[in-house]
Amino acid sequence: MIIDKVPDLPYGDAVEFVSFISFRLDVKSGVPTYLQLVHQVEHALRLGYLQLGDQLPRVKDVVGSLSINPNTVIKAYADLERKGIAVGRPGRGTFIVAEPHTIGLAQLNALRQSLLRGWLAEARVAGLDENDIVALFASTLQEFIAGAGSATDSGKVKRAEEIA
Amino acid sequence: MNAFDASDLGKRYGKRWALQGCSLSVPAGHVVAIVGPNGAGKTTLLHCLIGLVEASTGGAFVLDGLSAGSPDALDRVAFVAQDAPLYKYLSVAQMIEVTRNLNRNFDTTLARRRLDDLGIRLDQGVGKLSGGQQAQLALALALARHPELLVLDEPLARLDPLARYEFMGVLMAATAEEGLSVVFSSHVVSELERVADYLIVINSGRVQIASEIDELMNRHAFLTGPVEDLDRLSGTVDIVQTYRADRQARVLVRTRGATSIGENWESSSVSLEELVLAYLRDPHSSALRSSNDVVSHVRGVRS
Amino acid sequence: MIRVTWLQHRFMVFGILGLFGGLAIYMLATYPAIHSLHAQWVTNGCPTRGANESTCMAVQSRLLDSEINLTAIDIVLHVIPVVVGMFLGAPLIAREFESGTYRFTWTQGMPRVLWFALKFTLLAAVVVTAACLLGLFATSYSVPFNAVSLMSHWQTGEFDVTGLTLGAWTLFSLALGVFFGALTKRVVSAMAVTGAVAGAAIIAAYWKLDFQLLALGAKVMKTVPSGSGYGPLNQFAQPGISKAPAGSWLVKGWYTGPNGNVLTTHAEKMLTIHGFGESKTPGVWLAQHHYSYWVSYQPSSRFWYFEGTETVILVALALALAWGTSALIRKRA
Repeated sequence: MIIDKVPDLPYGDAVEFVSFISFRLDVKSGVPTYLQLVHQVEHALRLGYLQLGDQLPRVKDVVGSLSINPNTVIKAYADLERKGIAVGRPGRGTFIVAEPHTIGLAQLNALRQSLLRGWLAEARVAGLDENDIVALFASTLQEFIAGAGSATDSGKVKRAEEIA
Repeated sequence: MNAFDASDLGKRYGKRWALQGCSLSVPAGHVVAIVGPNGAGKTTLLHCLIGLVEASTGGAFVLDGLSAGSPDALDRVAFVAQDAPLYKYLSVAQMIEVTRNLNRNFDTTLARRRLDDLGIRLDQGVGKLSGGQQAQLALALALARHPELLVLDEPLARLDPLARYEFMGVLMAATAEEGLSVVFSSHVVSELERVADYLIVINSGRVQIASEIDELMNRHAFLTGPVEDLDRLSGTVDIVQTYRADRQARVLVRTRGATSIGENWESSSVSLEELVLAYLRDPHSSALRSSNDVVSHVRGVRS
Repeated sequence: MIRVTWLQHRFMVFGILGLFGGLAIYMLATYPAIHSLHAQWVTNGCPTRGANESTCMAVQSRLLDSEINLTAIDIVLHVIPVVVGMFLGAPLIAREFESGTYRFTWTQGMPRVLWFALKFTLLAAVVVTAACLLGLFATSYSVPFNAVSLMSHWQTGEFDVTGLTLGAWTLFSLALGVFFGALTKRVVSAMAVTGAVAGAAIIAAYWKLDFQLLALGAKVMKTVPSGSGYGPLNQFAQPGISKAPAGSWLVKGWYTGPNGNVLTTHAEKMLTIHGFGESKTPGVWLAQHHYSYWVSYQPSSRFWYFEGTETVILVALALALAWGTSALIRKRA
């Protein structure tokens, strides 16, 4: 088992490790635990809670507060490393290395409102039910991604693949 | 390195075999859950692993071939028995002293710090602590020994939900910090998924499942399809449980690798709890072994 | 391991040492009076000729009044090993089983046989030393009584509770306790069985075994009968009364007739009643009629050899029981 041992200070934990974000688990969602952690990191990055160079919470702190297997967190952090979002430095921790494409909360809300009042409202009027909407959106999104080509980053591409 | 091995392990009490023909080969670095109904043999297996009980047949070994219960094994393996037995008439500080004197390496500072974090005072009588606190104390004492393997017998059975959560939190953090292997037994399946990554199922004294959980989940699925096609299906997969209706059948299957199942069958995922329950319902259903376990029956022991 | 043993058994050890101490205090309280009587006896030169006979008799009579003290003390001394076995020995291992703590203690780094050996040795060292000291004190306490021939250190009341034998009985009883504790795995059962067996052993020694031990390898000599003079005597030689060396232990007495044959009990009776019994000088009468009286005895110089023998037997049994206990705890769980 590879663990990111962060050495304790010589006089015990005289200084509390500061975690920038906290995780939560939705046990009923059916989404694997490690994926939930990955998504929460990506989400935090997007909203600016995490920035370039920030340290992710220590494995032992995450498992201590969530009561989950350390391998799950390790898997999540390894996933983030594969995506190029974070990097594990032995003996020191896991750090954000990607420049996030942040989006402000206000902008996020504006997008949500336009979707709700625009396209979704129209789709409902046209008589599409939930499954029709999902199918239509998914296939159109794929088209959009393919058409947009190399301009998208790998993380967003992965995201689309998970939905499809 | 393996956390522990069992080679055709069996234990008999009088005429009754509490454990029979157990062969296991569990790699280190995992959190192993041993699951089974009450009286299935979980405690017997654990007691064999830590040398409290002498096997009737076969052998138990820990940490790459150390004989269970040998002085080397005693040094490197820590155990928390069911109900976390402690000397109730001593104080917490005295309990720490006793444990320190009975072990070669014992980290008193660590033990005290853990108990301090949990709000357990050193001058309290052990008998006066709540069930959850006694369990935490037993765990703190075990962890302060810096073991390479930590064995726990039904550690959560008498704890309320909050105490369970906190206990597991401490255990998981220690696991992350120390890199130790953990084995614990439980008769409740639903609380396992968060913490365990290796599963052993024991039923009526025999091992039914011994596998990494990821691999276990990948190799099982629920199939739904027409009843008439059942016979054809059994040729391509191992059927664990069948739920048969007039027109439709649902089967829990174990796939044999990359074989195609057939167009009539719809596949959906199965939860760990459903899987374990299906195996427990049929004590004779074939046990699953992960690929590195296949030759464990005749395996010699690396000394 | 000292600390562990202390933490687990301090209250019981205190209780036992308290019992020892209580007895010692009682003995201490009555010691001066009794030993001043002894001083008188010695200064007076009793029981030789020339001593003031009334003084000697007065001292003897007052010591006789106090004999009940010594008897009581001896009884308590005999009970002490049983108490140690029951209350310190029996729970030692039985409690670990009964409360389930063996599942904690025997999975720590220290192997369980070592754990037991150390604990047993430490506890034995404490109680056996205390018992030896108490036994020494008891021997010193009974000196006046022995001096006036009210009692003798050969007698089973004193023989089993000297500095050597009391310690040995205590060790034996402790070993008995831990053995039954490991066997029954229940505190109350272990205490009951230990109490019964230890008590039975001490009673057997008191009534029978000691006498059998003292009969071994006895010397034989010709002498003049005093008292009944035949069969098992099992008494100490009174100074100045019997011709046997003073301070020796008389095991058996018998007569031989003119032809050298040993007399039967009936013939002995006849001889006593109709023969020398009416004579003022039985010795002369016997010699004239060609009868001889023989006695087998243990000279006083042998006293400590016998003490040592009983001690060695008890210590050997204790070690065997301790070994048996380790064999039991290795297997059982």
